[in-house]
Amino acid sequence: MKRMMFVLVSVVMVASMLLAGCAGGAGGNKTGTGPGGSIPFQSSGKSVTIAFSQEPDLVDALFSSMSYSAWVAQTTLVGLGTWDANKNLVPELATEIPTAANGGISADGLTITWHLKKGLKWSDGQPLTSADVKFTWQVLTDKGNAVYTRAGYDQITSIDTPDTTTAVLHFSKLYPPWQTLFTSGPNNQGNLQPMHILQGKTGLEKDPFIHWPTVASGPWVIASWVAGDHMTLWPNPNYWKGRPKLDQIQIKFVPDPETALAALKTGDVDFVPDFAESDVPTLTKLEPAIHTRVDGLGDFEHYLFNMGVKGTDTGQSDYDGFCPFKDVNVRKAIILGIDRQTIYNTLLFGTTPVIANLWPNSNWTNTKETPYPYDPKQAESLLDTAGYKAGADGIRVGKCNGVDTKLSFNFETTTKQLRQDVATAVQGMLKQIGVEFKPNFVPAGTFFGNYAAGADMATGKYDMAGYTTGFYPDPYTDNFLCSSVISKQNQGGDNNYHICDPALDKLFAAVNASADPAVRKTAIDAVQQYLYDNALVIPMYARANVMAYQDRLILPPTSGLGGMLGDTFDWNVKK
Amino acid sequence: MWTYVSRRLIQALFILFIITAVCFLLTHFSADPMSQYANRQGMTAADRAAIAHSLGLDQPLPIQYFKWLGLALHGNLGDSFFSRQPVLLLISQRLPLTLELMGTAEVFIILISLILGTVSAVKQYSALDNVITSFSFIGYSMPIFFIAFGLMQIFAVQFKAWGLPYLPTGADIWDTADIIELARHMVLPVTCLVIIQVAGYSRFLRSSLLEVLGLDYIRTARAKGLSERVTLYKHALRNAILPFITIVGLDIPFLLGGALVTESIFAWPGMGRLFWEYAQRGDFPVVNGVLLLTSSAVVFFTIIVDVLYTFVDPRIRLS
Amino acid sequence: MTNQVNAENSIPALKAESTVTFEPLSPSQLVWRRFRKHRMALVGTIGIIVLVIFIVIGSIIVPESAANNSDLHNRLQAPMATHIFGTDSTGRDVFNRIIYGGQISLMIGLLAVVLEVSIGTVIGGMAAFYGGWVDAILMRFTEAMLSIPSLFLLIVLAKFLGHDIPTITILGRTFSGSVGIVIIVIGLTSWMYLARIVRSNMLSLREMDYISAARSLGASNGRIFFTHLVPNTLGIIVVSATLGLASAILTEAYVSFLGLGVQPPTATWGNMMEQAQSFMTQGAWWMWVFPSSFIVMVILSVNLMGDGLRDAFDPHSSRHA
Repeated sequence: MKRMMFVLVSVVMVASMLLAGCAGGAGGNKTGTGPGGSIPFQSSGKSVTIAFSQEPDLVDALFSSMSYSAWVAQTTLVGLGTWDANKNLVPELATEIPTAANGGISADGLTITWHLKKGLKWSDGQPLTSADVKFTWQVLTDKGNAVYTRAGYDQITSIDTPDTTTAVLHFSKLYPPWQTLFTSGPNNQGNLQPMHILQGKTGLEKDPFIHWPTVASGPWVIASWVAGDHMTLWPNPNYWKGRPKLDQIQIKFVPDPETALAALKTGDVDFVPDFAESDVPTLTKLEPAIHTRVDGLGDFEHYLFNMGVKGTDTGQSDYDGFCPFKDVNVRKAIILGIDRQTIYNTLLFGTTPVIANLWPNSNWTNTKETPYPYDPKQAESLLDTAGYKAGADGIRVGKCNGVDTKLSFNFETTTKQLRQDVATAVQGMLKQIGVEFKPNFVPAGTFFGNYAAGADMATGKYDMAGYTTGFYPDPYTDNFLCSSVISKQNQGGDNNYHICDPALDKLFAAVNASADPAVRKTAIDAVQQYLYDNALVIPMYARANVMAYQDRLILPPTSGLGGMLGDTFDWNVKK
Repeated sequence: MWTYVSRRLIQALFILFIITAVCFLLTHFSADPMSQYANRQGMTAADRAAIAHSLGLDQPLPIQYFKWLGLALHGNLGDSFFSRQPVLLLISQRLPLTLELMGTAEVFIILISLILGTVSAVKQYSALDNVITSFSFIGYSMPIFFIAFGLMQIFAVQFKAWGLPYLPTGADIWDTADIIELARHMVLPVTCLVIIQVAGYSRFLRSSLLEVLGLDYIRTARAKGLSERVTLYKHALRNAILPFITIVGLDIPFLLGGALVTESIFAWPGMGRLFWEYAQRGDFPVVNGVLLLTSSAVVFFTIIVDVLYTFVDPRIRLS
Repeated sequence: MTNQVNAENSIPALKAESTVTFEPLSPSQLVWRRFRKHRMALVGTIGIIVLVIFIVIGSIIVPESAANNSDLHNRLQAPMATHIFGTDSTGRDVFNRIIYGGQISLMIGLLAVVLEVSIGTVIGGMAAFYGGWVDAILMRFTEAMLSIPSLFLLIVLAKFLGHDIPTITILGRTFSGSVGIVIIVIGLTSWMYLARIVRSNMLSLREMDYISAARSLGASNGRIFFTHLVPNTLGIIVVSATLGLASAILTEAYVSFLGLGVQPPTATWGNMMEQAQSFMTQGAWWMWVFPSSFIVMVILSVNLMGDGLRDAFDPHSSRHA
């Protein structure tokens, strides 16, 4: 009996030791050339350690929806252009950005010509040519590849490659957001794929190269990747700009930002890119050993009203939205009843100003707008005008469509701490003007589910909801169009607001009617004004990238559009 | 005997079939993988439909299940929805680390429970027994995150602040083949797991041993003149250990599932975190694969324990 | 003559004694007696009673709105005169939330245990009573449920049942619907051990001599079950239920800590811990120390009480009190 136990125990111990032996070991040799032609790290070199609180699923921006994947992907595979600190598109692998003046854009706007720099090479020494541009387009439009998005690429009818450095794109119709094609950027935009490695294959999402790119066109090569633990980047000797100032970047995967902060404090980690706005007070206390940087993003958190109208026509939904929301005075009153400034001061620590519209931190923002102020008196008088008077319990009641309706409704959002705190604060504020705002927190996987999963936003079964999104770098969006309203007839739509307003549709159509940036700016200003005047959504706050890093790290200014690691080429460490 | 075993094995396969079907169904309702793609700028409805098709999500549920089952029976657990890597590969990357952590913890748990339980029972009501019992109660009553945070706060953060040799917070296992480094990182999570489990097991062994020590044949053994040690080890412990083995044996398969909270707090990249992170994102193949693994282990270990029991206790020869 | 023991004279003394009747103690009185002598169990019981009184009186004195009153300008305050336990991330008073959170945590624990005991006893009892293939199916079902990690079941049930029940209003108080979900989820994932214990206890009782005696006297299966097996298993059920209460409260803390449990603004000790986690690095120790201390106190008391009950009910215990 005891012997049997002893045997069992020894078996368990031996087995785990054996398996441990099989598991260990990082890849890549430390002498000669590293994997993919990279420059191996010497112990005397400069190394920086980054902590990610999520591990990338695969490192190719075309196939992954994770932002962490895109951050790494865009250091190793780059595109024709990239975004600078002023949010303008600048050349990366191209010699210049196509414009009408330099002949890059044809008169009718349907032909765009890109010129690549001469002598470009992949990290393994193979030449990088316009054939790779055409190949990337083929990868994206191949129905056998489960790519993240084909939007825009499917508007290209053909690509000519008259010589190795010229690619001529022919569009079937005007596509004003063409700057987002083949360029590194947010939302996992398209980077060039190597034809010499992937040619002739389909179903690329399962290809090992897509999981872990073995050659690079950008400053770094992924030299090793120990699943669940860390990733190591070494310089690409063939990058057109030269060598990065650093010799190695290591990315450590930690379970959550708390662990990352602990590692930052102990000096085990140099840079953490993904803190929340609420971490700012803790982080700023760590100066001067640890610096904090806050970069405003084009992403924003907004609260939306369910504007659905029940019916089966285009633009109609399965359910009616909460009746009082049809009255613009009610919507305005709710905005006026939320003290956004106090929320920013206490919960967001001034990391972002109060925003007026849905295009913050961008060159497209309507600068003539000022945000709705916090004016509970005005809110109350608007509600009085709308016919809602306070009942015995302090909550307003009034007639809507002839039915007595209490201003009491549900608000749905995810379980993130900051969202919970903001919603709780809003609940207290709206109570004071006689509106009962009932927050309900659901896990993100449920909240963002699609129509088939029965999610409340998609099916239109909510009253108010809150989430983050962003319309950048191109300002156009189809999220407000009648044709995008999600319903039984249109299950794949994008319009969570369930709003169908022909006037709004027309304004959005004007944004894409021309490729001229000045014309588009006027059009998008008009859209913003309309949304503001009609109080159709509540812009709550702009999101910010909060990063913290050791004093030894020297970071250049960044636009935030190149992802967290977009400027690692220029990173340096102090002596 | 063999008819009993083979009958149980057949029943086991049947149970597994039902469990996997139920789990498949439940997984389907637990999260929506397409929510990863919701509200992402640049994606159109056509893009989402294409991705749903590539993941097989547009097919009826029973078809999805049988396709998965067919592959599973051939040893192929499919590919992760998001990383597109084979599920078996993902599991094989995480499983060794989990086994190291849980296996080491289990060894210490068994040894320490045996010692504490026996001492506690033999020296019942002594000061030592009271101390052990009190600590057991407290350990049994504390949520694991409480212990974990407390230990981490003291031994990692405070020790470092006081200039003492400190243990790492667990965020930097660079080379898992280095045994010393690994051991250093394992100390805190293993201690957590040990405290919680030993509290329960030692009390169980204590009460089971006390029950046996009160029985007549022990009195007879002592009356025969056998030394206390022989009485204890050869007679009492041998019998008291049976229920102990049962509960330990039934808990062993759960080692495969890792310990989610411990792994999260100590940044240990094991099966628990794998399961949790992938389940939240709705990565069905990974979730179903892990569930198949753990439920198979549980079912088979239950059979093993029951069979062992029949060997050990001649009274139980089930017909 | 006078030295002779006068048997006749001593008999009245005996007779007097024999008129004093000894009523045999009923089983429950025996149990109570044994329990009383178990010092730690008494400590545990007193602990529970004190905590319950604290919560009841607390909720009478402090209105519920005070527990949900957010005050952004006073957020994350350390314990001080006006807020004995400090304030949380939106300025709500932690002390008040402990009171109301305690109500919910205890209620969840109790109701979950009731659910768990009902299911477990019925299944275990049925398996023991009917035997044969009913037993086989029920036990295989129990094993199947045991082999599915409870964490997974929690995720699934929480999601599946989650969004259909926004808020419940009972007796003028509103609860997040997730309270009901958590009760159902804990109840549905913890009945298995009880079922096995009930079944094995009844099976071993069935083999006892007095059952064979009853059978030979012509008692039907139903009579044997309800008159003999059930009352004799009650002890085990009570003990399991008590320990199950501790386990249910612990599970609620664990589940809420992972974010799957009761959602704010309804407070429970578990979800207070979850909120505290995000602010631990900011040094807001009062947000987690107080809820976790209360959790530990309740669980410790219940475990002590349960341990005492187990010793009290078990006549074979070698504790000679």
